[in-house]
Formats: sequence, C-alpha cells, structure tokens
Amino acid sequence: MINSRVIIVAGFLFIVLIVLILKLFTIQINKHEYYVRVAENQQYNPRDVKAERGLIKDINGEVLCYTFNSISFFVNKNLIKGNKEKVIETIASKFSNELGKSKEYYINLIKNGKNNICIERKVPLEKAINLKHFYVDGLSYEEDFSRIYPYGNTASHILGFVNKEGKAEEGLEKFYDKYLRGQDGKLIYEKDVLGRIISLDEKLSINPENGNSLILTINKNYQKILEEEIKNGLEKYGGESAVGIIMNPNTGEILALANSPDFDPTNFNNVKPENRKNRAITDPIEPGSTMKPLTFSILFEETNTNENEIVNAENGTYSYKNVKIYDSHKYSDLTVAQVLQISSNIGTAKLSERLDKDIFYKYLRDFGFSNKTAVDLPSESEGRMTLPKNFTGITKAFMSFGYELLVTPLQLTTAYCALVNGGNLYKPFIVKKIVDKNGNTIEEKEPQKIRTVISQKTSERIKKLMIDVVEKGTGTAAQLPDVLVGGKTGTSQRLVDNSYSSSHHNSSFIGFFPAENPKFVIYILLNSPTKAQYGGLVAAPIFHDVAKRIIESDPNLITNKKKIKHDEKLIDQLIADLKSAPKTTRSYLNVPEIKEEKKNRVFKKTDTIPNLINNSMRDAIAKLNALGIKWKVVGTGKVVWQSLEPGSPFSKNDVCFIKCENSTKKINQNETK
Amino acid sequence: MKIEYRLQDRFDFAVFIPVIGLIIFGLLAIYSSTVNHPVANGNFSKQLIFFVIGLFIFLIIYSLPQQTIKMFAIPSYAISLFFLIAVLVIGKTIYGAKSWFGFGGFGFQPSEFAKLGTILMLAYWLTYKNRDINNFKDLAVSLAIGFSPIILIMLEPDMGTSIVFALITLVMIFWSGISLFGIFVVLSPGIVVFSSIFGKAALIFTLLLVLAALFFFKKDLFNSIVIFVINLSSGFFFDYVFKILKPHQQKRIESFIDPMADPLGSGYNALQAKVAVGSGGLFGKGFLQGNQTQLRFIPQQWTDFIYCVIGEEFGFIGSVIVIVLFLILFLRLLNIANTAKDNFSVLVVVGILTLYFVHFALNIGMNLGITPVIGIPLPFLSYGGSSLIINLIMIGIVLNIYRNRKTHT
Repeated sequence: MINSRVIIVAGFLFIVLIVLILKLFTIQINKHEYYVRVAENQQYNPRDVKAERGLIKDINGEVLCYTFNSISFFVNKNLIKGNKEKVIETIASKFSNELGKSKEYYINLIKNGKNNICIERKVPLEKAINLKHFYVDGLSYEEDFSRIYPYGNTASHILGFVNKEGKAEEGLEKFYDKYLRGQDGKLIYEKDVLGRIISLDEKLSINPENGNSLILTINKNYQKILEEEIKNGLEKYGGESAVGIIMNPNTGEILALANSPDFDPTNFNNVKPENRKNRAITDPIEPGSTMKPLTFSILFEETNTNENEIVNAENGTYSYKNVKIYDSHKYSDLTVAQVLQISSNIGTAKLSERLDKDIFYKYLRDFGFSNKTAVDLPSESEGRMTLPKNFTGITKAFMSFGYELLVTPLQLTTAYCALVNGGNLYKPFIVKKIVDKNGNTIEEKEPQKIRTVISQKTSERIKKLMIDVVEKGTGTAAQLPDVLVGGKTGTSQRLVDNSYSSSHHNSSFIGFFPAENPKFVIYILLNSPTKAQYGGLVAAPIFHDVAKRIIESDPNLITNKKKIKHDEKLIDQLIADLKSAPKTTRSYLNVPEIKEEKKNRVFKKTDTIPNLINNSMRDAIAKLNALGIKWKVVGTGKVVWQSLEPGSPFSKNDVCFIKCENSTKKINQNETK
Repeated sequence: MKIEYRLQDRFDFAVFIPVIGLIIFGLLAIYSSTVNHPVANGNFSKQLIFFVIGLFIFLIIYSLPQQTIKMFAIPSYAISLFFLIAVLVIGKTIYGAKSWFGFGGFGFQPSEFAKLGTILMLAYWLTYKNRDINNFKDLAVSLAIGFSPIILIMLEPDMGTSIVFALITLVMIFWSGISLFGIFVVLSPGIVVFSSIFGKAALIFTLLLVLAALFFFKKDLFNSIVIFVINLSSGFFFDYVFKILKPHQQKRIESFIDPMADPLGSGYNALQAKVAVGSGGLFGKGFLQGNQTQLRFIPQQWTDFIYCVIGEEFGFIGSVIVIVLFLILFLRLLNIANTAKDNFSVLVVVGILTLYFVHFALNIGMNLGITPVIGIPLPFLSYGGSSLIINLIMIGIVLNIYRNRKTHT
C-alpha cells in the first residue's frame, strides 16, 4: 500500500525534477547560441593575420615588387603581471638571445621608456618566429608588412603603390589588388580564465591565404632603356613630361611603358600627384601627323588611291572651306607617297575628301579610338572623337592629319600595331600570367585579337610608305645602321587656354622595327619641348636611342647582314610638321563655330626680315612662316630679340632665332590685328 | 535461475546500477576537468581509489546482520558530535571554513560522517518505543538531535551542509507523522529566516503572516506567544548571524539574490557554470572537448561544479541521463521506504533519500543558476573521498535494509 507521504514525496521529487529539466532545456537548447557566444568571447583571443601580398615579376622572372614581412614588438609596462623587474629581465634576455643586442639595452629601453614602448621595429619574420611565440603579459607584437620595389622608380607607373594602410592605390597594385592581396587569416587563441593564452585553436583558426603573383609582359631591360632615354630626352630638349611605350605588334604585349617624370613607389607621398600620372593611358592628346598613316590606310582600303598619284600641295597654303591649312614647305605637286614623307597637311586634307565621313569614322573606331583599349591598368581614358553627324565641314579634313580628336598614347600605339602587323588589332595587355604562391598558374593571358581593321596588302603598302618617311622624309633621325625602321613623326600644337599655342607642342614619333617583320612598335612623346618642337627633331632621336639599345641587347634582331645605306638626311624636311595647326582660335572643346579667316590678313611678300620685336610670339611665327623663314623660339610671350636684323635680306637656309619673354597675356586673334 | 532470482531478491540492482552509473559519470567528469590541471591532475586516480575502498566498505555494510545498524546509531552520533567539536579546534581551514581533518595527503570531513550519524540517531530516537512526534517535548528533542550538529557546522562555518542537516531533520520529523501545526511550528522560523534575507520589510511581512497563522490554529496563548517569540528571535538571530558571516559567505547569499550583480566576483562561478552548460547544447562538445572546462574557467570544478562538466561535454542528453539515474535511485529508495516493515529502517531510508535529494536538487540547481552557490557536492559524482565513501556506506545500509526487509514481522 502506498501511503500519502510517499505520494507527497514522490510528487515533490517530480516537481523538482521537472524544474531542473526545464531549466536545462532553456539553457542548453533555447539559449544555446547565446551561451556559445559568451563562451567564445571569453575563451578566444582572436588575432588577425595579414596575408602576404603577391610578387610582381617581369617576363624574365625579375622581381619588380615584393613584400617584406616584419614584426614590431611592444612592451606595455602596465600590463605586466607579477614581479615587473623579473618579467622585464625575462623579456630582455629572450630578445637579447634572439636578436643579439645586449640584455641591458632592452632593460634600459623598457625601464626608461614610456609605458607602452616599441622595443624592436621591423624585425624580419624569419628572425622573429621564436619571439612571436613568446608569450608574456605586457609583450605584444604587430605584423608590419612593407612593400619593396627593388628597382626604385623603374616601372613605377605600371606597378603603382600600396599606401600605409595597405590599400592599393594605383597601377597594377590597384588593378590586380584582388589577386595580389590574398585572404587575411585569423588565428584564434584559447585563453584561460586569467586571460593567458593557452593554445592555438586550429579548428577555428583560418590561415592566411597568401596573395597570387603577377608575371608581366614587361621586360625590365627594355623598361629601363625606355625610361633612361625619355628622361635623357626630356633633359636634352626640355619639356614638361614624356611618355614612351614599347609594344609587340603581333600580340599586343606591352614590353615597356614609361612616363617621365616618375616617382619612387616607396615614397609615393614625396612627389607631386601629377608625377604619378600614367599619361600613356590617362592623358589623351591630339596626335597630329602620326594620324596620317592611319588616314592613308583607310584611303588604300576604301579608294583606288595610288602611291604615285599626284596631289597639288598648293604651295604651302590652302584655304579649305574658309579655313587655312598650312604646310611648312611649299610644294606644288607631290606624289601620295611624298605627302606622307614630308607630312603635308594640305595633301592629306585633300586626299581625305575621297572618304565618306561615316566610313572614315568607322575605321578610326575600328582602330580603337574613342574606346578604351581595356588594358589591365586603372584610370584609362577613352579619348574623344566627334560623331560623324556632328562633323562640321572641316572636321574630317583636320582629323585626317591629327586634329579635332583626342587619343591616348596607348590607343595610338595599339592602332599602329594593327597598321604594321598585317591589319589585326590586338588588345594591349601587361599581365601575362597570374600564379599562386606555389607557382601554379591560375590564369594565363593569350594575345587577344579584337578584329581585322585593314587588309594585309594595305598594311604592307603603309609600312613601305613609313619606311620611306624614315629613309627620305621627316623621320630620318630614327634611322638605324643595321635594322630597317619605319615610322612617322608628329608635331601638334597644344591647346593652351583654349587656343592652339605655337610654343607648346606635343612632339612625337612612332616607329617600328625590324621593318620587314616588325617585332617592336615604339612610341615616344614629349610634351612642350623647349629646345626644338618637331617630332622629327625631338622624338625620333629618342626612338633611335631606344631602338639602338634594344638591338644591342639582342643581336638576333639584326636581319640585314649588310649595313643599310641610308640617303642623306634631309634636314630641311624635318621641319614639315608644325604648320598643320588650324589657324583659328576657336576652342576645340567648344566646337565647332568656325570664324572666318580675315581675308585681308595677307602678308605682302618682301625680301626682308620683318620687325618682330614686341609682336606676340604667335604673330611673329606667323609672319616668319608666311615668308618661309625657318625659326627657332626660346621662351614664351612677346618677342624681345631676333637674330636677323629687321629689313635685312634673307636666304632660304637662314634660321631666325627669336627670344620671347614674360607671356601673361593670352594669345588670341585680336592681338594679331 | 534459482540463484539469480534469490540474488535479485536480496540485492536491489535498481539501486546499485544507477549508483554505479552515476559514479562512472562522475569519474569521467573528474578526469576531464583535472587531466590538464597543474595541481589537481591526480584527483582522478584518487577518486578511483576512494571508489574501490567505498565499494569494499559498502559490501561489508551490506553483509552486516540485521539490527546491527541500529546499534550503530548512538555511537555514530556521539562520534559525529565529537568530531565536529574536534574539527573546530584542530581542523584545517580550507576555503574559509574549518571543516577538514588532514591526514597526510588526504583529508576527512567530519560533517559528511555526521550526516550518517544524525540520520541514524534521529531514526533511532523517533522510532524508540512509542514516540509521539506531536508531543512538544519529543519534537523538541528531535529538533535538538537534528540541530546540534547544525550549530557546530555553522560554526565552521558551512552554510550549505547546515541547510542539508536542517532539511533532513525536517523531512524525517515530517515522515514520523507530524501534524499541520507541528509542521508550522517547525517550519515557520525557517521561513522567517529566509525572508529576512530579503530585507526588513519582508521580515515584518512574514512575521505578520506567522501571527495570522497562530490565530488560525487557535492554540493557547502561552504556546502562541512562545512560538512567535521563537520566530521573532530567529529572524533577528539570522540577521545577526548574517553580519558575523565571513565576507565570502555573505557574498554567496547576495549573489544568489542577483547573480549578475558581480559577474567577476561571487556570482562568477554561477555564471561560468551556466555558460558551460549552455554552450554544451543538445549533444555536448564531446569528452575532453569542453572549453569552459579545459580552460579552467570554473575553479574547483571537480567538486561542486562537476555537473556543468557533464552539461558542457555531454550536452542536454548527458545531463538528462544523470537526472534520470538519480530519479530511478530516488524512486527506488522511496519504494524501499514504503515496503520496509521496520520503522527504524524506513526512517533511515527516508533520511538517506532526503540527504541525496537535497544534495542533488541544490547542487544541480546551483550549476544551473537557480539556487545559491552554497558549496555542497553532488552525490556520487563530485570529487571527494569522504563524501563518496559515506554515500556508498549509505547505499550499503539501504541495500542491507532491502536484504533484510522480509525478515521483520
């Protein structure tokens, strides 16, 4: 028989049991997540571990950029537990053992320093391994990665840099940040109730994934040659900046790409931001005469234009739809080939009449203008072209010799590659391969042909004309003794304060060699050279020096057994480019109102030198040009001195030097009155 | 088959197997919480030795002839009191309480032994000839038997064990057939004391309730006044006792009222135990995988907080299995209490059941944060030689009673 006390006790038992189980249930099942979080917060001591940033190597495996892993150690005296003296001594002797400095050095450092003091800065990782795993309360470390660019300024615009916070800012560092960066890890240490680190929880820890490495198409040797030569050029000829590009026309690989001035990626803060600009892709310019071969290729492709056809060059001045176009030399009849050789604007403009504006535009688009090249570098500009429907009467003619459109140096170089490689446009690229930390290839870039722009035959014809430019025309300074070179000069007036300046030019040369089977296309651009203006005088010699050194470094490039016999250099013809600037002051950017050229502004031809003193430079040059007198200018502003006396007679070979000073006024149309 | 049947009849496996199960759980948890501990890493083997010794003594007790246990009642109680006084003089102070005798590497807690002595003595006294528990004098003596060790233990001081003694005494008196008024007389001072923890207002309110109850029972004025004065003085007595308590004991009581008030101080253990149990989840983190345990977030976890090791490493399932094992043991003890013919045996079993149950409820309660941290071990699981051996002796007594249950007329 069960008595009532049993029931009471049993009931009580069950009530307590149910209470306990319910409580267990709430804690372990309902609030499980919460307690797990509480437990982890107090048990784990997470520490971020930065992933090692990947390398950047050139095509031959030379390391252009790597990460130096180092660790800095700190002692916080407030956090030392127990006997301070003893702990400091322990730390000091450990550091002394590992790094070789005396124990007293560390003891003094810690004792005399602030409460929180850095006792070792940037210890290389391999030396710091033992110290990293040396746990004492109060001692801590921080990973201190630095990005090292072993060749300093070399390829600085390509590589870019990483700022102090580890953020990739420019260049490949920025463009390929995702690959280079890797994946930061997290080490989770278990700590006990006193906060002491007990062990590493390997299950929860995430090891850092080191970044991938880039292998570039860049050849460090070529890069160095190019950089040195454009720098030399800039020193020799003066100017604001210079750009150089070397490309393989058959693949689109960028072999070198340089800007001057450049910068040291380690001290990126010490330079003006414009020095860090990769002008080769960010700054589009009006290309000037380097545009002409492209125009010619379209002519050959679309019309029956023949190299030997005769074009009348109008004796140097041609009034085209009320706008005057000038050539620097007066010619009446020229063959089509000669138009390119002496870089006649009038001839090119006349020939461009044969082309429909839509077709002309379409070809230029096909050459890649007004479109990003999609090179793997950040901040690329797409340049600018007016749409055919917005063309004014003169747009096409001016575009045909390189005005009224903006292209980046890289766009032009890419287009030239198509021009000389048989007509195929390749996408330019700078990273050949991405490999992981073990050297396994993750991505390999193949040359990417975008389209065929012109036929093989046209390409051959253009190449031949461009060889003639170097052999007989404005580009003679680019001739090489062993290798046949083709190319084209370009000199365009720069827009300064919305009007074309006669003292600021973009002087350029773009050439290719060996001409029979081009392996290199090299573009050289100087902005506002002061000693001379013509591309043929300024940029072509730089091209020559670059090409010469490349050939010296690789004798296999010499295909001709015999020395090439060059014609005499026709210095006169070097001065052919400048006159191409439109003689209007209208702003290119506020196109396209065309003011009528003043009819009465015609200079009487006399046999004497005009007085140029106090004329604006532009005016003075105009006067000299009108008379066919060659000139050289030093400085800007109003003319203060001229080498040839006013009123004196002159001959064809005389050069008039003029010195200008202090130009604060804008050069504008009104001043010429 | 015949032999097995007899064995079944003479040996209650439903008591023995849960006990062994609980001891195994305890050994696992002790191993887990001490294996990496710099000081306590020998505890597992020590406990294993205690287990073997305990089992040996258990068998002796189990085999004792009937009535022998009754003969132990007075001597064991006397020895208990002697030890309890002796420990106050020559005992070792551990964790602020003078409750240990030390012999070499081992320690002995007389209060553990006193539990057994008091149960036996109370059972003996309450069933001696024709006791009437509702007789005031008999009740007073019973209370005196129960509360003498309590006073000695409170002097150590050991609050938790005192509470256990008080509850054992009360339940045994209750089981002896006390009237409602008797229960009131016995319980009301306790309730008054308890309420005084919560402040003066609660104390006065409870005292008013006591007055109202006295009117309800309509006893003569003298008795009523005596009872009220006892209540009143116990309330103020406790207030006084609270003030002379050691700071760590005061803190324990305070942290019971608001465990989160001082999470790094006195409420720390309660909170950490809860975190351990809670983070265990349904299946637990696995044997030796409990971070709370392995990282030693709970000091002395192998003693009073052994249950949260199980909660963390074996999860909800493991925790419930332990509770169910206890439930089987309790129901079985209740059954033996119900079927034993001899009143002494019945009260002994009830006393032992109460002892186990109070330990069980308060210990698991404090592991789960529902009762104050009063420092009493979980029977069979917590590390501790005295406790384990005494508990096994009691199981021996219970099974001895079971074996002899039919020999009484």
